[in-house]
Amino acid sequence: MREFARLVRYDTLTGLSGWRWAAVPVVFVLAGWNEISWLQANVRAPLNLWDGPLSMLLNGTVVIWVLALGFMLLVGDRYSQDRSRGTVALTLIRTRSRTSWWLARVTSIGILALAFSALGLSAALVVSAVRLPLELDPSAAAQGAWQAREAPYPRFEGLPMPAFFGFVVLYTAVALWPLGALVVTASVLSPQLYIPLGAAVLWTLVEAVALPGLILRDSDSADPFYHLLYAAHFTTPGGREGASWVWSACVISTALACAGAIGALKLRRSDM
Amino acid sequence: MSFTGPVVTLDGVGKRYGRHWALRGVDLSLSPGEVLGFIGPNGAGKTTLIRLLAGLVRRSEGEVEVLGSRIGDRGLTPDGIGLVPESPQFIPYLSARRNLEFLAAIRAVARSAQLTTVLERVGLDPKDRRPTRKFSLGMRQRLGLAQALMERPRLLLLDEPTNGLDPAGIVELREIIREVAGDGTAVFMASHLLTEVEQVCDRVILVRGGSILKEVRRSEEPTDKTVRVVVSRDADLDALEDWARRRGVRLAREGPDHDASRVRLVAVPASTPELIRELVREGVDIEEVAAVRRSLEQEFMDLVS
Repeated sequence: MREFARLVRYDTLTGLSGWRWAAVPVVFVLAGWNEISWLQANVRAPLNLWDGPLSMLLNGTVVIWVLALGFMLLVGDRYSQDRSRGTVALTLIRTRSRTSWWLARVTSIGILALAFSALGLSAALVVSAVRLPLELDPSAAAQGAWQAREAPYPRFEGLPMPAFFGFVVLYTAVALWPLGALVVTASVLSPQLYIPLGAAVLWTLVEAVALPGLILRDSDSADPFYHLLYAAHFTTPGGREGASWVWSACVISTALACAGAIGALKLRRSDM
Repeated sequence: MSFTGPVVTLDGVGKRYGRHWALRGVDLSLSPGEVLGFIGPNGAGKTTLIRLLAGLVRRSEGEVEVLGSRIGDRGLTPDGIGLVPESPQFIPYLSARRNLEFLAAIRAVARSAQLTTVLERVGLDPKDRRPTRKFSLGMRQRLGLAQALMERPRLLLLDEPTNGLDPAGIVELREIIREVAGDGTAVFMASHLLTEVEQVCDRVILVRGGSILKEVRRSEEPTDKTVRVVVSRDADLDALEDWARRRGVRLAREGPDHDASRVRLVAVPASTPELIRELVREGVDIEEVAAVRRSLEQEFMDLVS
């Protein structure tokens, strides 16, 4: 177990390197800025700093192209890159089983998802703090009724806003985890450099078409992309019941289990 | 656990990628403290063999035994192997020491003092806090060697270890390899630099197209004795050629040098003093004579051609 934890730490540290991480706050600052401009133009009630990033996570374009594609492009080719750089060999010869080596990789993708979500949403929060009033409480706009289309986003009313923001960061990271893991698994199946990036772009294109329909129709979708939307768990303004948290946990853990099992089976008989 | 038997035994090992055989029919063994060189042109199968010994690549045929463990289809690496991959990369924003600490922690074998020692041994400053992204290729190669040595391996696998090293680094690497071998570690070194391999290896395997062409023990006397003779007059050269024809000795002209003619006599049947006496009896006026040890490069080029 200790060896596993140390492998996870090494993989995470390796995964945090690269210029692409520097682009994350920049992209989220731009997305946050755009969201705040939209809120200021369309919401009459007073806003505050929490509204920018939380409302942004209901914007389909941001969720699909910035959040999902951004994360998949960030981590998707980690296996292929590390393999060509010799990093895979350095850790693999110190590991007693390829299965634990692969599961450590999948676990480290979860930690990287948390880093991505925290970095990106914090950047959006910072830009929101620059343009909107700094307050710890929910804004007047956020205190409106979500189901009556008065609030720009749903929230847990009893939870303080910093805690709710932290919860959304954590939930988003957990929901991003299987997307990254599945794309990295694709590169294990075919370890060419273009495979993970191609798979990420293709999957995103398909979801860009399919997701709007899912949001309107299903609350029990098995599509991992759908569960990126934390708002999907709240009753919609149209009165449809939101997805259950348990169902989201099932979808996410099933996708992770698939990534873990497929990768482990493939690596058992692969040349590294 | 110490091994008295071979550290590595390969029996008819082959590795196929699709229809292409990267290795075919490789038989070899490696004893503790022995330095074995594996040399050949690019694509000869050197890296494949290193990865096969490290358990990273599965064999297509034959048997592989490393440090008493049979390397099967499951791709497991036995304990006690140090691997220096070609051009290794590290976590770029961490120092050399931090990189070693995190790698060493996976198996928790190497201690902090060992890391200091191994960094000094490969010529890196253990107190250097610069991130490894600022390292030259040669420094990364040294760090690659350090990570392989820090866990005191019983088998050290080196894939093109001189890549990026400056001349001083190459000399230091040679010394390290000799020291490591002196401690009983078996060293397997793949390279395309013939002179480097020649200077450090006890035994050299010449390989091309995945097959072993020849095995050369550097301690052995060459089977074909070669002598270089320099004469200045055409008459002496004619006499020398006449003698070589009668004695069945191969003669190769090396081209004139100033006023002298240089010839190389291959497969000379006598000792050098006897050869001189014989040539004097034949009336050849000798300007210069020297026994020539055939270099690995000549052996390899002869085999390839």
